[in-house]
Amino acid sequence: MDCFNCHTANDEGRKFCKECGAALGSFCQRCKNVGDIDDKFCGVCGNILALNAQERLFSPPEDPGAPKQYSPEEMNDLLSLRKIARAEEAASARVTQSDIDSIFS
Amino acid sequence: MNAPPLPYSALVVDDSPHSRILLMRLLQRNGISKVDSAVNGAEGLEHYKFSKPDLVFLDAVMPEMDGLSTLREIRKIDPNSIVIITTSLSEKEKVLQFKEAGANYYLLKPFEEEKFVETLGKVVAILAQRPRKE
Repeated sequence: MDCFNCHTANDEGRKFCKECGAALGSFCQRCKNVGDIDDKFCGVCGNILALNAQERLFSPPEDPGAPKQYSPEEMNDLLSLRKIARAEEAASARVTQSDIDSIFS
Repeated sequence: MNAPPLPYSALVVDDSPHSRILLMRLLQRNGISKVDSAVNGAEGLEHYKFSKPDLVFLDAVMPEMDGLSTLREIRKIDPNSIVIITTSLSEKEKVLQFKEAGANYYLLKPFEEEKFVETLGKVVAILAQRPRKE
């Protein structure tokens, strides 16, 4: 297989060019797997791969699949928001006359 | 056939003419013929101050002054008056707000006459235990 970048001939089965180190297939930014050149999704982790052949070989600047890391403060905020959402859900719950009678008994 | 007359007066506060007429008829059919009515909370409060009825049927959603505000004002005047909320609002939060503000009963519209009679029976039992007003 000829390298897309430097056109050096590489043996079949190689994943990276022996001359310039470019990926010889679709390089997955998430799991670093190199799949077939036409792959749209990574065959190992399922990550969506760049649609442009050039981008597939020369990695995009940022890993779109990387999970977001939250600080303890952000986690607390998220948990508070979830509590508020649950409270609002409970508040909007509708009741029947029978429920109301129990509340007023 | 109408029930025997009861010595109690009522105030119906509701912006819906249909609801007002229905409640007044139900009250009269069940022995309470002295019934006043108002079209919103502000008017209802004025009527309440003037006539001091034994029981109040209060709608929740009304223009000018809603049921919750009216109830709170009534409670300032008389903590022991009997107030029955009549509304189609069935959110638990709303029900609890009225309970907390001092509502005695809460009738979910549309209600069956049987439910109305049952509630009125409880109210009358409470009123019968109280000394009669001068």
